[in-house]
Amino acid sequence: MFGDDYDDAFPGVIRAVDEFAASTDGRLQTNRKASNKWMVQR
Amino acid sequence: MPYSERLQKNRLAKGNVIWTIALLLACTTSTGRAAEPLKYYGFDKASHATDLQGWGSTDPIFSVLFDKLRPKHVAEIGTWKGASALHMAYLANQYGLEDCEIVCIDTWLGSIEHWFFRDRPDYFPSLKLRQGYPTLYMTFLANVIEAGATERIVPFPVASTAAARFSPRTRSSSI
Repeated sequence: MFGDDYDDAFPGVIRAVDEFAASTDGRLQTNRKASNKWMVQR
Repeated sequence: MPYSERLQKNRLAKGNVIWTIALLLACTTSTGRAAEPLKYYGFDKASHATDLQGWGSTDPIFSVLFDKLRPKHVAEIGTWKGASALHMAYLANQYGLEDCEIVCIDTWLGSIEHWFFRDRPDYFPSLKLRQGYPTLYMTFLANVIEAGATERIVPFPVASTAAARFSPRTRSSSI
């Protein structure tokens, strides 16, 4: 799963992505240089 | 109006709805395939301008992931006007992914920032309120129809929490 807006301006996104990654034992990668993209891989 | 009359009128109205649905199904099945998928059937595209404004809709990550994963099912959570979905539909065509279906999950009511930022053209004005209600969904439909991507893009106008109750592999036949 991937998305964008992993940004301090959207704390809800950061919280949801972090929770999702933790609850699925997924590996979270973020790239704040590329439109604040995030990716969770299992 | 007496209650009995209202009840009768209500029953007739419900009957009309059922017949309308049956007629649409008949249109779909009698020809094998409707001119437009049911979700788009009868939409008056001329009444809504196309507008592909979005954020990062053609980011290279889409191409990287489509090339690597070659997906058959894509669930997009938060679609806005459909620019990303249309880019993914384009990539599916480019990579020859004939069975790839993109389910777009959105209320099409905007997020909180779209209601707060009144002066930024990409935010509140983009909601294009009619009678106080956003018409984003109509803009999305117009965009998809204009791009000829109705076979690939399936709108699912519910909140993400509701959509989460469906399988990630939900296809258009079940929504």
